[in-house]
Amino acid sequence: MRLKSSLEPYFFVLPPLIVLFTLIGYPVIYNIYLSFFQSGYGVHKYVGLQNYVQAFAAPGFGTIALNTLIWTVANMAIMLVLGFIAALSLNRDLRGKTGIQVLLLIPWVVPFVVTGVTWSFLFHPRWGAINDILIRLRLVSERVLWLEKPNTALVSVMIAYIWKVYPYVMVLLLAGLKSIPEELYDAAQVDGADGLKRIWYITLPMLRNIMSTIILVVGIWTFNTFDLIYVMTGGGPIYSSETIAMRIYKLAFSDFRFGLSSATSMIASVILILFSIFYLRLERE
Amino acid sequence: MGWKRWPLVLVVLFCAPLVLFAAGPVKLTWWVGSWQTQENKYERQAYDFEVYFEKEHPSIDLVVVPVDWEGMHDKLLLATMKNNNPHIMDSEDCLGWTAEFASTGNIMDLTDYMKNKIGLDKWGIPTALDNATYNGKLYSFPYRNSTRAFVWNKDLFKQAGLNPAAPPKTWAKVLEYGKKITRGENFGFSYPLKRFCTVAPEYVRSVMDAYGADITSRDLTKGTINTPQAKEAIKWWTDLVTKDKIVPMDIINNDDNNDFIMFGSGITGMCMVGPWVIETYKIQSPNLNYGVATIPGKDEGKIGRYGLTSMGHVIRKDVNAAEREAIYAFLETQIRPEVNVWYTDDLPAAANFPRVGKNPITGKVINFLDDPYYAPFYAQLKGGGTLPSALLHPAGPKIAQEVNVALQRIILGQDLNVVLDEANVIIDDLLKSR
Repeated sequence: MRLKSSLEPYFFVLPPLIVLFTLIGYPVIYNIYLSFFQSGYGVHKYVGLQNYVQAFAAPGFGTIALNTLIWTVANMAIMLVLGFIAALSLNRDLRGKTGIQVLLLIPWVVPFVVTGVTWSFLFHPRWGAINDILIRLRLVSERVLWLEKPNTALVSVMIAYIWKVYPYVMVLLLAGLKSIPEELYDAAQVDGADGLKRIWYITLPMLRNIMSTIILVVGIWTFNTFDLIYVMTGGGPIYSSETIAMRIYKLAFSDFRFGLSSATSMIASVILILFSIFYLRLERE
Repeated sequence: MGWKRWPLVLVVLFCAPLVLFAAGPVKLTWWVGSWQTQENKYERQAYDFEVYFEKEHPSIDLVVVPVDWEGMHDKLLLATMKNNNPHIMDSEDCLGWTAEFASTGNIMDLTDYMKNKIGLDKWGIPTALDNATYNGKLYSFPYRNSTRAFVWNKDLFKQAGLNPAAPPKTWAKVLEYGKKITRGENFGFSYPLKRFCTVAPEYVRSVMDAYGADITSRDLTKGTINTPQAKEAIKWWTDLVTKDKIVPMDIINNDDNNDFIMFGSGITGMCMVGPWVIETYKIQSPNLNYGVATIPGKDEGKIGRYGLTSMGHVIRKDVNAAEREAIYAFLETQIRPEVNVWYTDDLPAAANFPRVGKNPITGKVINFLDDPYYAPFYAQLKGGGTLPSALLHPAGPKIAQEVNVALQRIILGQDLNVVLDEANVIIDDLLKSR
């Protein structure tokens, strides 16, 4: 028996929808449910909104929120700038361009945990290459405690994160650059526009859509980063490199407070959803 | 055969495997910690024990399942919370694991069994039974006890004009010697302080104990980290980094493994290590010229104390009668002195157990009494040099983190009194929370 043609498309999307609901939908719904309970160590008690109140009132939450903001905004800004410069450079006729592109992409393929362990060694105050180079170049007079001091711990992890993720931003921007018609640049050149003017009036507007996608998608990934911070500093010293993602993990798997962890993750999700809606609206305008 | 007999044949054929299955060996599953020490020693010992035990008890099938140390605690706790735990699990009593497992209600109360069948004086180390206790009941069967001992770098001692054969016996001497050793790339002493390093508070407790202080009350009802004696001890401990500068600032991001590595690399002159590190130094630092001694105390002639590093077996609560008997046979075999000596290798279940023996499976000869690297651990254990662990509460690991963060804050310049008062409030809340 042949399905009505209007029903056929639904038949084809049904299997992936079932998978999506099972793997994503059900855990999300269960997470929302758990956020209203005090759950862990054999306890499962309904507490209403208490977990949400506790999430905001927890010690160090202000620091963690600020860390998350700095982590997300600063990483994105730096990666966009670096990725743009690298993409512009690779968009020319360079000798060995493919080889350079491959080399630049290597950090992207290295797993986060390996990145964290490697950069932890590089930043080691005693055995790390970074201190060794800085001391030999007489840029510092004594060893810098990169991961041991609150004012340098987050920055150090950010350096490792940017090293790993900016190649992905670069590749997306490079793809965007290649889609810009050459005629636009030719016309601008005829009108007397120099390099910077061409970038400002042609390149950046034409890359707007791809940049929006990068800011949204990579921004969300950056906000949710946990593994690199965990490996390099564990969120310390004190709370100086702890972000909301780390806090969610700690609450669940270190403190076994699943309800509070779920509530914190819901707060983080709402922040990301609101940001996405706000940003997309801004883009449309 | 007539057709009327076929149903009978089918019933017999169906029931036969069930009967055979029912009459088969009792199966016990045993999750063994695989600490990835040199050559996976603890795993191999468990397999050796399996062979030995099954030979003595052919009606019991002991299934050894190694569990990797990374994530071991979470795996064991989640299994216990869901009542999916195996018959026997290795538990780090000293890290508060047994208290956490017991609080789920899914592990067996072993009090009557250990009191009446085994006899509590068998162990001879009161702190081992303290670590195995939760809410006044015994939930773990201690089978391996360990502690830290004090190590010193003889070459650095010589360079500093100190007698390389004479380690410090008091904490005051540790400071005095540390000042002489600290110069250039070398530091006199070190200890771990990374936030998630749950054993780090045991180091400061050695000094707190010398001052008559502790992190919590012995009955685990309140925090005591802000008493005058505790503040004095912690000030002394943190001054080693900030004022005396004999301990490097690196320690803020160091766990105990990093601490051992710093000593093994010849950077620090003194630290405290566990017996499992001796093997590592033999292989990875063969040129390290060092000695092992008991932990310094407050005064000469009295050894210092360190939290007992004890491990026990925890038993699943829901077992049938046959499984229960098999588990008892397992535990009684583990606690036999002639078995315990080769199964636990470096340190024993009981203080007076022999440390000389032979592994009947591999033929390996064990002799720790004559080994100058291991004998001080044994002396520490036997000489009353242990404290009950700081973590004997379901919130123990979280309390350890708060202690580490408090010490970090003091070292990074925050007011000691404010920090310890705040930490004590948090510790009080954690003790009441579970």
